[in-house]
Amino acid sequence: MDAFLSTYSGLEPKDFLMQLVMMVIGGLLIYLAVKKDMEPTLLLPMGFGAILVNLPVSGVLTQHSDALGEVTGIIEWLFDKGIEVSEALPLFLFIGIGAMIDFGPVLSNPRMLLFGAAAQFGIFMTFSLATLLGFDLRDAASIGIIGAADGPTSILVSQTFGSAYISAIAVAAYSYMALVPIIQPFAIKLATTKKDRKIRMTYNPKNVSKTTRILFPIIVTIIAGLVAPASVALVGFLMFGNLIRECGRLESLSQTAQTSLANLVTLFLGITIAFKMQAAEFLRWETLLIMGLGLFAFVFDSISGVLFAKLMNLFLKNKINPMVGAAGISAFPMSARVVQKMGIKEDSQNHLLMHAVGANVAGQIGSVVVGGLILAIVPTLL
Amino acid sequence: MFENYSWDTAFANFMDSLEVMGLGMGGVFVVMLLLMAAITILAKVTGKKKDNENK
Repeated sequence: MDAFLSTYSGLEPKDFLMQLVMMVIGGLLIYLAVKKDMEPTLLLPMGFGAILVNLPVSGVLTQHSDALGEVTGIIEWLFDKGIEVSEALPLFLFIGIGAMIDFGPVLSNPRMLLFGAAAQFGIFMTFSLATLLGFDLRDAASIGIIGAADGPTSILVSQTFGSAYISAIAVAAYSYMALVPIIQPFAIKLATTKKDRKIRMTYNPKNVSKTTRILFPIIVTIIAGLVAPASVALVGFLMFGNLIRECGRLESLSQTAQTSLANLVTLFLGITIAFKMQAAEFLRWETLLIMGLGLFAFVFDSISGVLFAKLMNLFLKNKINPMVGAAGISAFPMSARVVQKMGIKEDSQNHLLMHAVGANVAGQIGSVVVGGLILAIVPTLL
Repeated sequence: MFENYSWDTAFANFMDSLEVMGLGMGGVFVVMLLLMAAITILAKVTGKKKDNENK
């Protein structure tokens, strides 16, 4: 009995209370994943992981004892090897995501690429706002990247910068991605009139040759790599997955990347990120602030995409429905679906889906490029 | 964070963030414009090849 009690001898009541709160938060994430279907692939492992790491003297964390010395905990080991040392887990996930993306809609209508750039503006606005609130450049950049609407990019950038808020950033990024169908209609309506939303767009897809599909991921990697060398890991792994998909010779590998690899990495990524959901690191006012800033980033990404489309319309003969601009974020395919749904609501004959899918796919390229640019630019200012 | 808040530091970081904003948005637009040009060239080149094959 004494031996059992001695295990908990160093535990302060206040620490235990905080750990209990974190376990409740873990339970809440599991509830949102299971009952509300909010990004269950990530929020459920993170929620359960939060419970695991907050059990007092948890065996999933490295512990020290007089009798045994240092005993390595599995979640701490996974975090150390899979994220902290190499950022391997988010990068492996990019291979799977790349294999899932069909760039056809953007290859058929390349001007949609511009929305993939414009809708990243919320990232930089949030970055600036975070600096004014007192976050240093590394943390502010990591918080801003929540607006990439791209979980793995958020994790990779915040880890590369050594941000202490990586878990709050991951929770915000994945939660808001799940809330795109609620956040985006609100943001789009803020920036458009009924007349804007009724603008019709015809869809005339051009044939995209096999050669173009194969060369595109290689060209993206080279161009992005030359403009922002730090983006090579992010863009390169994404495009590697896409090349496997499009080459036509590696069907089995493509299927593995899209299913088994993506599932396995997602499984471990969520539970590994939970390492940073220990009470002392997570339960602080900054976490609430980061959740608020993440929402700001998503809203202003959407608004900047819409405003850019309106700007383009000043020079175009065939007008673009400004809602399509909001789909230039990386949350695929939720954002495209939101635009399609809103278009149909205003005019039952106005099908915007394929235009929005083009912008949405461009957003996936844009978000990783911006992630790489931030990784390249911010260190020069430190 | 809040205990050590300094307006001077925050403002200096804010000015740096504006520089990142300019370079970052400029960079992503440059990448996208280059990609647009590359896609257009690819479409012309591979489209011509297809036309010749059809003839």
